Amino acid sequence: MSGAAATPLRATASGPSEPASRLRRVPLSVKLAVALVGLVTLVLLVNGVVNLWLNYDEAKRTAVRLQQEKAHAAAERVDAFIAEIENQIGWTTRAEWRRVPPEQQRYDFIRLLRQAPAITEASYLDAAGREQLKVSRLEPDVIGSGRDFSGDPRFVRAVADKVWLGPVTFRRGSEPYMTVAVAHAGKHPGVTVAEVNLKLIWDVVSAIHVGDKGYAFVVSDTGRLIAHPDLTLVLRDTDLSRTPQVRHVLASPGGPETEPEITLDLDGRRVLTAHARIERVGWIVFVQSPVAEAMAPVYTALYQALTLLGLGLLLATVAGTLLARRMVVPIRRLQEGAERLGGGDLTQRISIRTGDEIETLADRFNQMAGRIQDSYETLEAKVGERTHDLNEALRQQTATAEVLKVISRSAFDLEAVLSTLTRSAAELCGVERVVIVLRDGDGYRLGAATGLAPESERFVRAHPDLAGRDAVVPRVVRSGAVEQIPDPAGPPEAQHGAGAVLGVPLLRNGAVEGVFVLTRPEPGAFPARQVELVQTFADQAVIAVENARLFGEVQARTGELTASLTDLRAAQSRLVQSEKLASLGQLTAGIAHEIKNPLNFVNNFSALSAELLDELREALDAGALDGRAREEVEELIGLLQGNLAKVVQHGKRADSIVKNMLLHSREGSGERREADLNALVEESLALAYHGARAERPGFNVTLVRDLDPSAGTLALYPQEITRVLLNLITNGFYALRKREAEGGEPGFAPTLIAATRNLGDKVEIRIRDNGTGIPDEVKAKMFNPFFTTKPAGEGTGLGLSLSHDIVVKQHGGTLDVATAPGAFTEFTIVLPRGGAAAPGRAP
Amino acid sequence: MNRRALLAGSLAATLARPGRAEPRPWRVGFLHPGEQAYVDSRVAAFRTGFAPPPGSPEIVTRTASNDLARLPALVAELAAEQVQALCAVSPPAVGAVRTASLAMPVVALDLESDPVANGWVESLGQPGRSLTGLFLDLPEFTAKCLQLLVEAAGGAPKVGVLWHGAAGTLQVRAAREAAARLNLPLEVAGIQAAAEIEPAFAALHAAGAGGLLMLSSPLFGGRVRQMAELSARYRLPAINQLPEFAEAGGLLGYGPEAQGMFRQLGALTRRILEAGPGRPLPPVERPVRFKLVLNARTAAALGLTIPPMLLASVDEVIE
Repeated sequence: MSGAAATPLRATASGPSEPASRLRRVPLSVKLAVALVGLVTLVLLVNGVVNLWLNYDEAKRTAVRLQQEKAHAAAERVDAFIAEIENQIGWTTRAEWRRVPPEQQRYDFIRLLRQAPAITEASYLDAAGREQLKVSRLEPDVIGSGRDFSGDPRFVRAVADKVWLGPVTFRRGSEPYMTVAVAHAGKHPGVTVAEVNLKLIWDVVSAIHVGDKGYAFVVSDTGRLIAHPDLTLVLRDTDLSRTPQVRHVLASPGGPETEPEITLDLDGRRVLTAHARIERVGWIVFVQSPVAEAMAPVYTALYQALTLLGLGLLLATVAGTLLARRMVVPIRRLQEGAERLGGGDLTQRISIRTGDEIETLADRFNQMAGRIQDSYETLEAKVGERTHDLNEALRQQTATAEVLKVISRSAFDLEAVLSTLTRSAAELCGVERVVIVLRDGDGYRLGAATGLAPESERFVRAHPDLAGRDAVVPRVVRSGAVEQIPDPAGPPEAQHGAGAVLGVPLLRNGAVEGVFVLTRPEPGAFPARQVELVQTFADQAVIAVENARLFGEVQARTGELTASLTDLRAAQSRLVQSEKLASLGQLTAGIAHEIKNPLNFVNNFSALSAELLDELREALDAGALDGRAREEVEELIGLLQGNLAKVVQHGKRADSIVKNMLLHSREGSGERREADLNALVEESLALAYHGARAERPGFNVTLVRDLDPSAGTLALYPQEITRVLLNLITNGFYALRKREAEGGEPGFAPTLIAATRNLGDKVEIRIRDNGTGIPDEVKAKMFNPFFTTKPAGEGTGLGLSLSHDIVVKQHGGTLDVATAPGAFTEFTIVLPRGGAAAPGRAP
Repeated sequence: MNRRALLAGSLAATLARPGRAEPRPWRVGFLHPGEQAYVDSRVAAFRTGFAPPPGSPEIVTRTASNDLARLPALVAELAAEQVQALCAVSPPAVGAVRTASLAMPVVALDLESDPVANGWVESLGQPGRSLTGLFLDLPEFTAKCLQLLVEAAGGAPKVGVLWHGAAGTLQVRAAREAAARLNLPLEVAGIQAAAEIEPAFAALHAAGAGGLLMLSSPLFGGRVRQMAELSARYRLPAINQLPEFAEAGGLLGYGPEAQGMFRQLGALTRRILEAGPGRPLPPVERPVRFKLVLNARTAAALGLTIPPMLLASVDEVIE
């Protein structure tokens, strides 16, 4: 519940503004960490940079010093090489050597060459400067050539300086050589001159290792390359005097050895160069090593310092971050707690035990949250209650509306309306059983029920008196007001095991039309709201009942009206028919009257003529006529007599017609008197039967008499009624005969039933035959005058018309026919006992 | 993004140097006028000098079996083999290669001629772009050998000289001049083919030569054993410019070691190939160490007493 209420709160509190502020804000921990790390970094950086600078300087100086030392060492080794050669030569320069025999001298020189591989040639110059001996590796030895070298520097300089080291020469521009001349000891010394192949310094130079990639090389005082690890450069007679380092050194011949410097070597790589002079020969030894290698210790120191710095920074970062985190954690927790509170989660409490201001702050927050929560809960309860009430009301209104809708939809279906009411009442009031009992005369019946088992409902419906037996019903009927049995103490079966019962009367004009009964298992009073609701429903039920009743009444009335309308219409049509027939009758009577006189003439004179013809024959018999003429006359007379007989016959028929026609216009032929109906019928039946038998002797029919003995007598015109009955019976016989003639089915028994019945103030006569029946088209016209279905000459077409006139007009009764073609025809005559219609009515 | 750049970079690096993954071995032509069997050991020494075994070059060898007329055809074959450098041994082979004027650098091993005098190189230090090599262009060295032979032979009245004509006249001239200086009669036997060697020995023996100086030639160098046997058969104290000769039974051998020279040649060839085409060739080199070998048994067999002076110069004595 609080969650549901809190969600919208949270949504508004942490709305669109929060992400932006998150982006903008720098967390406190970061600030702290940055401050800490920054401080440490600054100190470390300053320290590192100072250290680095000092270290670098120191390391560089060391490297340079090292290089310088290496150069000196290299120079010393090259110097040693030369010194060794001098030394080797030395033992041929003893003072007494000149007195050694030449063979021995040569032997010594050969040994010298073997001892010193660099010496390719050794020669001995005597005190006068003449060559006495030359021993060579590659040339034949020469003894006592006497070549004069007295002016040659090798002799002059050697004698003067004891040792002379000649300039470096390149044989055929390729191999470097140097002449070494050493003066012998003693006065007037000779000189031993050795040609030294400097190519062999290569052994020395390439043995000098300066680091991994460094090397040493030697240049002469003119800058020519003497020795280099790459012998090719030497053999190529390379002049290095133009390279910066060599030029620099050569420029200050006597100058102090300058600091090592970084220059480019022949391949263009950056090298650290140091040099040293070999004073004895004026050569310069250069030591070069790639800067990267020479400065490796410097770089190592640099890397160490950087690593230390990096490590320090890392440590500072880690420590700073941890520290900042530790400091910030309670604040963050406080912030999170506050956010939760702000987001509506008031049950949360911030738990911080740092023992400082933050803890106090957290406690304050907690107190605030508690108070807000209290007021919040009260508010929620109120809102809840109110909402519940509103919901309830809404539900009731909806249900009521529903009920009204149902009622208006099925206004005349009482059952449906009442069912809806009970169901809605059960739902809204939450009760198990709702029953509507309706008053039915003095008793009560079940109107509708909800929550009643189907069999018990059926049972109650089958026994309407049970419906009123509910304890509450009589009480309500008595009081005409709402009754409650909160905890019925009565016999349980009366309440059907209910706990509490509510009865609401269905009042119409102050009368109790029925009772709305609510029952539920739990005892206790029904709430006022429910009672009110049920009252509303009861009112609705009353309206529905009333509606239904009114509807029923309207329906009954409508039925009655419809019936009278039908009767009226029938009477009207009969009236019209009677009028029509009456006028026809008058017309016929008029015609008959007019025809009667001429017809009498025809009849009388034709009879007379027939007699006259007899007289004629007599006369003729007496006359004088021959046989043939006589025969002819006789024949003519016979013909005339035949014709006259026909005239008479048909005249009589016409006479009969006219008579019949005149009957129409005649009122009350015979007198009106009391007559026994059954006797009348018997008489007519017998007459007709015998008539028919007389006409057709083979005719057979079963006559059934169903005469009501209580028919009694009544006032009528017996002759007329007899005519009517004869008419109808003769017609019936005709139909039976016809059916028989048409080949009646086997087992067909022609039957004619004549029945009478006492209808109180009326009597009824029925004549029924099982003949051919009357087709519909005939039935419509059969009462019209002159309408007949019989062959010409057999009927006048006036029989039924007359019968109708007699029964209806003369006697004020009715003549009806019921027929089914091929099955039966039944004429029903109803005659009023009281009297004929207009006894004195004129034809 | 960084990873993709790294990947692209490494890919580009791989594509940029397609050949480096599997370096193609160097391809070197080797032209020798002698016989295959003898050349094989020289090629092996060359290979050793060229590089330690993993970086071994492909060496295409063509030998003329002493039929010098075949040399131009062999040069053409080697040129067709797409070699990157061509090593030619002896003046005839170098001459044939020079005649063919090939695009690839030529590395010569020639103990008999002067490359500058022949016009093969501009100077020893700066040989130019087409030819360099190992030369022993010291005529005086022949004279030195003659002097050693004379000393060993104990003052022979007459010395024979065995000369392979194809090696040129430089040495024979030097020998003649030296002999003239020493007032020593000289009997020169010039030959052109291997078949003439033994008759030449016989002829020199018949001429009364007391010693034999063999001028250097690949023809003799490949047949040191035969030469030593012939020298012994004709009882001629002999000197050859290859120390191997003494080891094979000859009396004296003085000169640079053959195997060492071929190793030096191999190293030189390697330097040239590594420098790449179109670069100035390295200077002409000379044999660095000379070795004097004396076969004491042969000396004893010849009944010679080696003077101490000579013994002092000897680097190695074969007992």
